[in-house]
Amino acid sequence: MSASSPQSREEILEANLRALFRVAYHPLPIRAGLAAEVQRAAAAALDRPAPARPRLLTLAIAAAASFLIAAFAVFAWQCSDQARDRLVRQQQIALREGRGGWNATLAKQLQLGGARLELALPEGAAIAVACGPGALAMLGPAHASIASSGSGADVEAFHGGFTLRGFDGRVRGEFGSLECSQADLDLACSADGSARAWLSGGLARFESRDGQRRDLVREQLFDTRPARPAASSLGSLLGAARVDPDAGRQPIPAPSPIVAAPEGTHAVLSGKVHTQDGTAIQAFRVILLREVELPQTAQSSSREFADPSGRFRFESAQSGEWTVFVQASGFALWTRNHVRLGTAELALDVALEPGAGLSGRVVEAGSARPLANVLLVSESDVPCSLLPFDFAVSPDNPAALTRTDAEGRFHFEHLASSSTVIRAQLRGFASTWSSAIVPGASDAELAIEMTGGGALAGRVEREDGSAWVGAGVVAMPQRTLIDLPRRSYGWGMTDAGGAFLIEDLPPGDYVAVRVEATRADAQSDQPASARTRTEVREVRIRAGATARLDFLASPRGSRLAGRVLRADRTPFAAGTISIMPALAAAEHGQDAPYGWRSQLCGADGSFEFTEVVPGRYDIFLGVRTPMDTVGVDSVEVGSASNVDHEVVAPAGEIAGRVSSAATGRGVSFAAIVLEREGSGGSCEFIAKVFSDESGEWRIPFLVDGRYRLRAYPGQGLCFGGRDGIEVRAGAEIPRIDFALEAGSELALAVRDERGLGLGGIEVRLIDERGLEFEPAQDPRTDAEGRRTLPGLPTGRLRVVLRNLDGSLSERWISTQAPEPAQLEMTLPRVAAENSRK
Amino acid sequence: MDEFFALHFRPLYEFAHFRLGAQTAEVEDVVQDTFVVAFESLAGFDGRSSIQTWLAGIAKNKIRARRRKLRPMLLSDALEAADAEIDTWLASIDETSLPGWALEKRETSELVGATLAQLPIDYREALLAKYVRGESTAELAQRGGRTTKAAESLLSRARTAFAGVFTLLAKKRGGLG
Repeated sequence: MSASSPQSREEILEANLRALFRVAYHPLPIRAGLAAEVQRAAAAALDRPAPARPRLLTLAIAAAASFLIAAFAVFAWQCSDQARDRLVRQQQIALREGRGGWNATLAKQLQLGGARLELALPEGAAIAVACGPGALAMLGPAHASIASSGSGADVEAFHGGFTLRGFDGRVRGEFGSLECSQADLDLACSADGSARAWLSGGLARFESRDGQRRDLVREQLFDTRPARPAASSLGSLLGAARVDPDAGRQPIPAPSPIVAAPEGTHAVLSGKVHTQDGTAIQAFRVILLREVELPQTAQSSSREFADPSGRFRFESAQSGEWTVFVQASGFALWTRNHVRLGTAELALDVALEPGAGLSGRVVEAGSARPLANVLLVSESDVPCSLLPFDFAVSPDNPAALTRTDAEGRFHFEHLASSSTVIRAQLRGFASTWSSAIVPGASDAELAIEMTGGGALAGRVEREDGSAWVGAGVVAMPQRTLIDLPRRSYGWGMTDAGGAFLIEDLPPGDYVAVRVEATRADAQSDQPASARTRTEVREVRIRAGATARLDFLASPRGSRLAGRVLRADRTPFAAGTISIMPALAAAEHGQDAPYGWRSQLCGADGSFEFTEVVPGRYDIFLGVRTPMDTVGVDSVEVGSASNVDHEVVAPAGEIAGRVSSAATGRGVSFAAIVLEREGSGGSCEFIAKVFSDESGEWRIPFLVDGRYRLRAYPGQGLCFGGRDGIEVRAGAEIPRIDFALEAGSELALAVRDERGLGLGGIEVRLIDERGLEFEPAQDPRTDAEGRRTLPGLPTGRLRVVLRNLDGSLSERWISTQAPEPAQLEMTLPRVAAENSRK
Repeated sequence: MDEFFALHFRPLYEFAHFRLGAQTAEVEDVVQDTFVVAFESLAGFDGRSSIQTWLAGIAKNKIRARRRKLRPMLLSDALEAADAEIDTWLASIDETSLPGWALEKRETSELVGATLAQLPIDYREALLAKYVRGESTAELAQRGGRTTKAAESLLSRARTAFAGVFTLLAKKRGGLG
């Protein structure tokens, strides 16, 4: 070391720094191109964002096979298991809210309000989820899914649902505790201190609060409550269960009218919950579901209450119309529709009933092999509006779910004694629904058969043609929009290559939509061309096959764009426009979907379809989606063309009501089909709409002319119709009411001379007045030459068959509703007529 | 994104370089993995630390993971070939003028780079502006949107930090403390 210097330390340092940076500092050489490579990789990571909170997205759903369009909102689902695993490897707790992305988290306050919570724990991590009424972390209505990669997790259960996967550790709750070893466990904890669990893997041992221990048996329902009665033996089939067609969709009829409070911004809902004999129920849950018209859907808001007098008070609800559910352990779900909340406090008197049980069995179709571990959902007993096919736990009403045992048997308890539909789901099989059934109305057991499903695959591209990573795609069966209590859907997310795959879909026609636009986007004032569009496609799913549906952004065909205006020239804002190849309806058969496309108009009424295959297109509009879709225009799109087209909705209108002649009650979801009469007896399809809960229907946007109307009510009633209805804009709106009697069902079999079934034969029914009906969506016989036609009125009907070569055959039949009718007809086997191609 | 990337890319590269040694491929992988993770989980960044610290934390995890796959390697391993005499001098950066022969050694150059890689970005930028690009305090202030007094203060803190880290690394490498 040298001798000390007279310089100050600052001066020495300054001199040394100058020397060091001048002589010894050499910027590190970095490979050319590395920065660009890393930046691209990071940009790709941005394509799989992990938002801290789920985004509310808007979807548009359309179903032109039944000329039905709907649009609704769901939560975004964006996740990255890679991101989750990475966080866990970094010894961080990964948390996902709803279907959002995985994020690292520490102890935090969460306001989930019905969302689903998932946690992935690193080895050795211990968490305490302290939840419940009054607790800081409001996880009461949430569902937590906890995956543990190691030992030592210690979870304090809250009132709600857990899914534990590969879980080592202990779950404590009011019910006692569960010691788990590599456990795959679905657990639902109730407000009354009980718990139900389903162990599908690993080991779990229950210890009650008084020290009693029990090992959980795999694939068997574990319930801390007193043993329930065993399921009765397998009895008659599903068809034996009688269903009141007028039971409708009201789980419990409203006992008394509720006086509406004035509109306001916030509402107070209070009430008292008791048994039928007036005894207060002390622990219960109140769930509010806002009643919104499509294109919106509502998310439920749930809160638990514990009060010795059974009273509750819900202060945070927004004013408007709500469906109110009340759930308590040991009772059926109480439901009241159309509860209008305003600024004034509204008090409900809630009398809960034990409800009814329902048993049944699930087997594999064909082999009759019993299927174990099938999840069954009583749709009307689930207090929500959307049910994904991978639905697993219903914390808001555990009684709505059950599973089959090793022999395929299942048993529900405490179901509401009104019409519901049971949905069965099992990985590797297509979800399937029972017919409508009223629990408790019959001792018959439900028999459900499951078969393999189909799949939907495709690719999603951004506007620049690059792969859209992490985009959600939803596929919803069209029937779930019409004749089921809840809307079921499957969903998938695109991978790094922009590809998605949705499996185990029930066969049938679907609406599929790419999830991208936010609700704010959809409701913004920007023209549609300035924001990302949400477009809906039709797709047909077949068993054992994978349908292909791509959402390719870069236009590879013609473009059709423009604006939709009402008759007064105001924009058709937020309405739905659909285009469909003009010949599709005529050419539609069992093997091809219609090929329609649909999207929401912008605030200025604008729309834009790209990649349009050249041809002529019919244009349909929908306002009260999904209830009405009306053909208003047509347009020719040439090859590689850019068509700008203005659609002006005509001002004519027609309305009416469908009711049961026997009861006078309105018939909901009756299909109303409108055709415009042309010259020479020809008709042009114009609209198909559905009646509302009171049976009312309305068809707007009609040009002046003569129309013919058909009503197909289903629900055991006969169809009806009227021809020659004059519609004039500005004139009095024609009102057509149908009071319909019971109908009968015709089983038709068409064979050739050798007795073999003839498929593809078109069937029409003509009544004595000469009115023509097509009561089945597909008017053709199936491959075995069969077709069932429902809703035939009492009287004489002419059955007209059109053979493949265009030749016609007919037969008169007499029906006496509700007795079923049968008819066999023989036609020559011919080759298909060339001119129809 | 470009701005974020431009600001943090080189510092992160140097941070990784001086922890992994001259294993260029490994360094590049760590840098890329770090940015990918960072962009994936940017929404989860809670702001309790600076972005640079957060990035460095991710990079450290990446480096640890790679070391587990390869062989144990500490910072002192990366700053190889310690020369105790050099380090004795270097450890006295604010006490003794550094001799010219020491300045020209590769080890000294490594230590300067390693020290800079540990400093906050604004310290690093201030030192490079003054001693490499020859900018005045006024220019430094103007470019950073600071007052001249704030720029002087920043520079003073940067010098002190550099000296502290430089001395620490030199002592550790030289086995002096």
